[in-house]
Amino acid sequence: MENAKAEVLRYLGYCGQALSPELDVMIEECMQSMREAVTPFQTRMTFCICSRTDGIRLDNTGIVLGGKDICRHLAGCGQVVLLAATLGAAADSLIRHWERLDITRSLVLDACATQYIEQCCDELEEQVKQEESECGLAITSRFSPGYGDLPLDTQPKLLAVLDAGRRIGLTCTERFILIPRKSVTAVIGLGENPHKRPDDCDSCPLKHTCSFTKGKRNYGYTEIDTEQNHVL
Amino acid sequence: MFFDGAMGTMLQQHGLTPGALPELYNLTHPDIVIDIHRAYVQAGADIVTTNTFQAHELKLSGEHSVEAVVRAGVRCARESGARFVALDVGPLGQLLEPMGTVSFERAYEIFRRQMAAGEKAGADLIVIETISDLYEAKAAILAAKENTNLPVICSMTFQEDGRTFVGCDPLTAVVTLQDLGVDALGVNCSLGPESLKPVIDMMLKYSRLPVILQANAGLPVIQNGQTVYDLGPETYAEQVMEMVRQGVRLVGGCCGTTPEYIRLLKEKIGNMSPVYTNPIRVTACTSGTQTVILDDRITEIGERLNPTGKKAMQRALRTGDIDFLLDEAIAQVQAGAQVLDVNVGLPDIDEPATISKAVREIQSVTRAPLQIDSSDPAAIEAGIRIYNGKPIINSVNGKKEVMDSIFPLAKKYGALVVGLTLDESGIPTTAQGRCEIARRIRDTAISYGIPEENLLIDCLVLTASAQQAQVKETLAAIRMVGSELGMKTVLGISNVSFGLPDRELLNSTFLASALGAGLDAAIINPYSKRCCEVLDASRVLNDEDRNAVNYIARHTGETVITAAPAKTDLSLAEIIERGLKDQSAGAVERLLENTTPLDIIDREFIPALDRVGKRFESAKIFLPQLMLSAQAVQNGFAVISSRMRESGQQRMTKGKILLATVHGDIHDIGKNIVKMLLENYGYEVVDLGKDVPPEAVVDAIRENDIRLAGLSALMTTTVKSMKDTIAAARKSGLGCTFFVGGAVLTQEYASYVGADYYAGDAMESVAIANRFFAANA
Repeated sequence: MENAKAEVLRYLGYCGQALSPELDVMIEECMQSMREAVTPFQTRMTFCICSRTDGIRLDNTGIVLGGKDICRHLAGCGQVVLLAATLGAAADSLIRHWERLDITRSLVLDACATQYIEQCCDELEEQVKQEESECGLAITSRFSPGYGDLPLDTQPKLLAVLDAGRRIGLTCTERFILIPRKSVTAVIGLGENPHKRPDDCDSCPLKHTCSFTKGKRNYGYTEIDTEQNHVL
Repeated sequence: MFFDGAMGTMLQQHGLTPGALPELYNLTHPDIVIDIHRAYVQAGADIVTTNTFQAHELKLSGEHSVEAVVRAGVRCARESGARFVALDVGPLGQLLEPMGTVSFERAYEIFRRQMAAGEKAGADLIVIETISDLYEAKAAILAAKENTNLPVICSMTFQEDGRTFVGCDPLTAVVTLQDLGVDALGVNCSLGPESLKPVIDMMLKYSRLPVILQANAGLPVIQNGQTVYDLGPETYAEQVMEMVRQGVRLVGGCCGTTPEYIRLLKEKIGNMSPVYTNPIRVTACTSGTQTVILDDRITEIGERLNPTGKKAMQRALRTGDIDFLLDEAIAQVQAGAQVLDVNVGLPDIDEPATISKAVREIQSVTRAPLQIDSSDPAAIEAGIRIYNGKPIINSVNGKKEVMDSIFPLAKKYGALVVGLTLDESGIPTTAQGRCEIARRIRDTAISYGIPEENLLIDCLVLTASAQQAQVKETLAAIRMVGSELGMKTVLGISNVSFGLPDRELLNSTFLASALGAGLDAAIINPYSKRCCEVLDASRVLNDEDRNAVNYIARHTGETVITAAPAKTDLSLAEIIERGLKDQSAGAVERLLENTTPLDIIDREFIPALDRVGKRFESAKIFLPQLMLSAQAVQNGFAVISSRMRESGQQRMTKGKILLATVHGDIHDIGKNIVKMLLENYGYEVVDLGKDVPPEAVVDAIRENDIRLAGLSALMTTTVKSMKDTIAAARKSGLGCTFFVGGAVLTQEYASYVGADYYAGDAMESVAIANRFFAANA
């Protein structure tokens, strides 16, 4: 839980300030109430990569993962796992409810939800890693529409392939916003020797604008993620 | 009756790739679609559902028209030789407001187009299925009933926790759907038949209509990265058979089922006779996710959303201040109200438009069902149409003309109705007379096809100050309506004390008497401590609060909540800087004894906020701490504003600023933080909310004579809307200055969209506003 709390604080823009006891209690309460309120759902499917010209094409789907960054990310991978996960509508309702009663609590809940869905994805990723290592395959980190130059309009296509509306109640708007809000879609590459991304601030594409480095702490490499990046 | 099984599963076996639109096969591969339908017919299906699950304009963009795909779909189904062809209508694939961005009216239009095409193409019935959101179901059902003459079946999808993805439970689904005029209702998709048993049991327990079950072939499991289902046809059929024994009347299959599943279903179940259930009839209202049953318990209806005698609410309605209504709604529910009465009737406002807006907004912040209160049938219809769930209509009375205008609405929208015991000759002075009117209301309602349990009788309270002897008659009427007619009763309590001192004492005493007479639902002021105490106690005495759990929790020891804020030695400045938001109101009250409001703002609020702002900018505090300080000021401001209103002073403002989250974007917490800070600094904010189209921004700038506007966007895809909005304002010749902000925004983006200023965070917005109004004073 301590790690989780550190992440929640990070989403709130924390960089080592003194926390008042009231705020500290509020964060703990919010983490707990978010976990109690939601039921995370997830779904995934595995596909072979059938071509790498003009983006990554996946076997047996019409889907193309476009852009240079995804190609680089999936170098050395023969297959990908497409995954989608969501905290569901209850997370949105809880945040919306408090927005009127206590906007600070609503903001903290929002950060708790972001942390929780990321944690769910980490667990899912770990599960994939375990399963694949049995077949002698390693995995890449998660890569989502909106990271680098993978277009956001990949979003509805991923959802369609995963039948995510039916399976986990995940939809997206005409402007590609995932709804329920606290949701993630991602691609994980599978290969014997997949690409490893660097893990330091210097090679991060966000290094000039990242607000997390305000406090001079190293937060490692962050892919540009227009969905989950900041709360403000 | 036997439905068919999955279409998608079968199409994938015939080469449909994941992610492709199955509905296009009606045009590109009709032979495959016909073959699948035919296989189901040969397996024994009486009804085949067309391959039109998402044949609507959100999914079919461009290439093929909805009409062409639906027509081809119905033709394929017809050609299979099926006895009946059901037009299949699935969810939109995008969520409705407030969760998503699709409006109720837009959803209705999309469904209408698909269904009208289906009827024209010759479908025999409509199956609305795999629905999670009751609101979406309502839009689809209304579209079907108002635009076609076809029978309608509606089935929803529940997860293992017994709720749909958006939180609707089966009780709420059945109570709402069966009065919306569908012909059958039920469950499909998500799980295997056995796992759906609790959901089906609940539906069978309450449904007066045939129940349909089209389950999945078990749970999806991932094998080699692909989804497969874990129930074979034999087990599936056995599990469904069990449900048919319980009373399910229509069966078929969903994901993972094939003709073999249907063949075995027919083989095992085909000779069984239908089992008729004996459903429980209850008086209940619902929201989109919650049911309030009025039988065998006391229901509290909050009366505060009513402008009669409430100046603040009248002002809020006249100025369109929806926030006031929302705060009142939330506060009443927190105080214990289970249902909220909503009345927006003022002589000089457009009541239908106002109630429609109010209902839409209120239901987005509370799960409590609403009671739509108006004497204008047009306003009632506007309110109950946009409502998500089964509302209560308040009210009808014994006048023929009123019954003839309201009962058809109650029938169509499946609402509960409150019937007032008065008629053309006024309010009878005897209990017997009121009981007679109640009987007439009931008989008339039944003649309109409204089930008796959907009625509540209000025996009417007269004020003790004017018609003292009549108070007892009301109590007698409650007893008589309950014992002679077996009808539920509701009563607005607070009227009794009008014109007398210590109204709470009279109200609570009368409430206790009315409950003693058998009153089922009380319309009260939920903030009245005495009335709430009477309710708590009555629920124990009524054997409703079992083992007095709730009573003990609320009335043991020092759980009494005092309204007075905690006394503190801290100065207002310290309170603000420490972000002690619950203490600022008290401190402001004390200061007001010898300081003017203006001085408090200029000498206390602003310097303290400036210090907090500096600490935020230098990263000595972080965002939540800044916000707690801002909330402390906000709570202090509320005290000052109400004091100034009381003394008839105009609210002063340093300038008017418009804020909006741009079209397509639904993140507004950042914008709301900016709003709070700007208000703290004395600016008046015109908040247009989120997902605001450019035209709406332009109109609001013109109407409110805005010179500074802030736009927010969180996604790169919606930054374009920002550019469009600013361009639209410039094109209209408006000399408005724009500042922009939001997660993805940078100075470069700000220049790209044509903004005058870029605000990196909420404090920078304040700095921009201060500079702007100083330079343009």
